Amino acid sequence: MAFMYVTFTSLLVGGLMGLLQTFVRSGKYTLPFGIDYYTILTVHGVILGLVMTTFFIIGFQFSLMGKTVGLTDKQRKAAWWSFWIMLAGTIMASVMVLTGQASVLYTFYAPLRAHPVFYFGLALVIIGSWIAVFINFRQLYLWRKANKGQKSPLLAYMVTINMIMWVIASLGVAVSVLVLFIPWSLGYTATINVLLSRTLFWYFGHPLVYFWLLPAYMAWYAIIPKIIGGKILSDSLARLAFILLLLFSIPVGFHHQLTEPGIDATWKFIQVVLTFMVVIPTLMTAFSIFATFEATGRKKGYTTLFGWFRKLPWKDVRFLAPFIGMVAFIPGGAGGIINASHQMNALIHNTIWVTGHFHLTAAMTSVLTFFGITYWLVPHLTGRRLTPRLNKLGIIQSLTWTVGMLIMSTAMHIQGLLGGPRRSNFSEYAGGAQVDTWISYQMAQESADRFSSLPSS
Amino acid sequence: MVYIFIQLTFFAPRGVEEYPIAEEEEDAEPTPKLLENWVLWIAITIGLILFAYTIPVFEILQHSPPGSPPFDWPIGK
Ligand code: HEM
Ligand SMILES: [Cu+2]
Repeated sequence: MAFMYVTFTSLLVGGLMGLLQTFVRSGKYTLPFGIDYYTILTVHGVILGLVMTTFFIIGFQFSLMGKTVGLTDKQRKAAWWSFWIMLAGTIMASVMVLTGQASVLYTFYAPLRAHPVFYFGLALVIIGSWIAVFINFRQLYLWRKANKGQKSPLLAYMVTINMIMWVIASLGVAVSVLVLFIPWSLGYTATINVLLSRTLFWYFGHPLVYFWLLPAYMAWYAIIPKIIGGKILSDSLARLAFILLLLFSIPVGFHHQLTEPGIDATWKFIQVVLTFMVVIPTLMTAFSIFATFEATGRKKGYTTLFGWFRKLPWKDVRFLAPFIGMVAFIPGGAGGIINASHQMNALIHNTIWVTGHFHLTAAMTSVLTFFGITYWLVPHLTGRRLTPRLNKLGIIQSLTWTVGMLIMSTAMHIQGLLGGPRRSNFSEYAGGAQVDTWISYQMAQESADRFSSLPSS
Repeated sequence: MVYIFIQLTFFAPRGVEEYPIAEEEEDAEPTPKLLENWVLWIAITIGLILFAYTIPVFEILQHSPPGSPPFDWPIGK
């Protein structure tokens, strides 16, 4: 048991290193004016949205599996393969993006064309992640064989659900890259079916955002209770929530394509209904977490109505950072429901409102929870301790991040409602009067960026 | 964050940081076996996907306009 952590460390730290450097880089994201806006935007989206999250999640999930069901030497070797293949793919894609050969944004919509190496890099990242998927499946399989008739450990169960979702979803993007994009960017096929490529992307794209969210849920359900000195309220409720998230994560991609011609409105409607099913596991989760908080406090003897709430370990960054993430998911999730409603989507689609939405859900809910995990996982793996001083720094980091994101995301939501476009370099749109109303919100976003991205990254 | 990360990796004092995995409440209901019926849940997942995507994708393939040549401008390669 003990020595395997050493190797884990390297896998994980290797992953973390790569991704944390990117934080530094993203701080630079307002600076280099010589470089094209869309190159920078692609770097930001690809590196933070795809690379950082995926490496963190796969590393974290390996550690969860190792802790709960074990990891054999052979599996560890295979895990290294997964790591190196993903890294190679990442480097290929990043070099292309950084040299301006792939300024296609992280959704790489056709008919924008990137250098073929970019698409090969993406394919490698996906193949590498599949190796991780099958190692995780095998870990659970071996454990179940050795422990016949017992229920599998909760965290291992959750990782398996997330990986099932990932493997089914990434088939879509793999087909899209291998069958549509690569031959087309090499010039073997003259044209590409744009609608088909976008449909395949969003078949993958929505489960992708749940792939970021579920590891945060893992921590909320199974790790936070320990940190606050309590117990998991209900193992079955947690498992049921994960099953529902799996069922309703994939057949919903059309909610990103509500404005697209060429898809029948009936099918959009059906997928929107399936999208809204997510409300059930989400509210189950919210209920269960707050019930855990209250039960824990009451057991410790706080009898007043909200005494249990005041006595939560606010000064422990391992709790505070994920807690802020949970709170951010309230407006984040509500915003998602707005986005997915066909009529309201017409108002916000392709405005910077959407960018505000996913900075709440991804950059606050998921990433702050990931930070909260990092604060104990990294010292655990390196055999060190989170000292009171580092804990304090962590709290400051979490708070700056929060304030910055809040200002930025609020401004984005408002500017989006006023019609401010997303993904656009500055333009006065031929001087329309409407544009003037966007400016102050744009400035608010800028200053929020300056304020928080440097110290907190 | 990067600073804290480097501290935690290379400089923080040696020691043991716990790996916090919580246990279930003693009086919780036992977990039903059904939840671990992987074949069942994967089958429903795939069933839902086929239901939601088969016909519209078929229609997309049938009725698409001519495809698009690649664009390298204004953004792209
Ligand atoms: C409550 C559940 C959620 C619902 C119903 C939902 C719904 C939506 C919808 C309908 C859009 C498309 C808006 C448009 O472009 O017109 C969208 C965009 C987006 N959402 Fe969510 N969302 C939810 C949660 C999340 C979570 C948890 C994350 C990430 C952790 C996330 C990340 C994103 C991202 C990255 C985009 C932008 C995609 C793009 O580039 O076009 N969402 N969301
Ligand atoms: Cu979505």
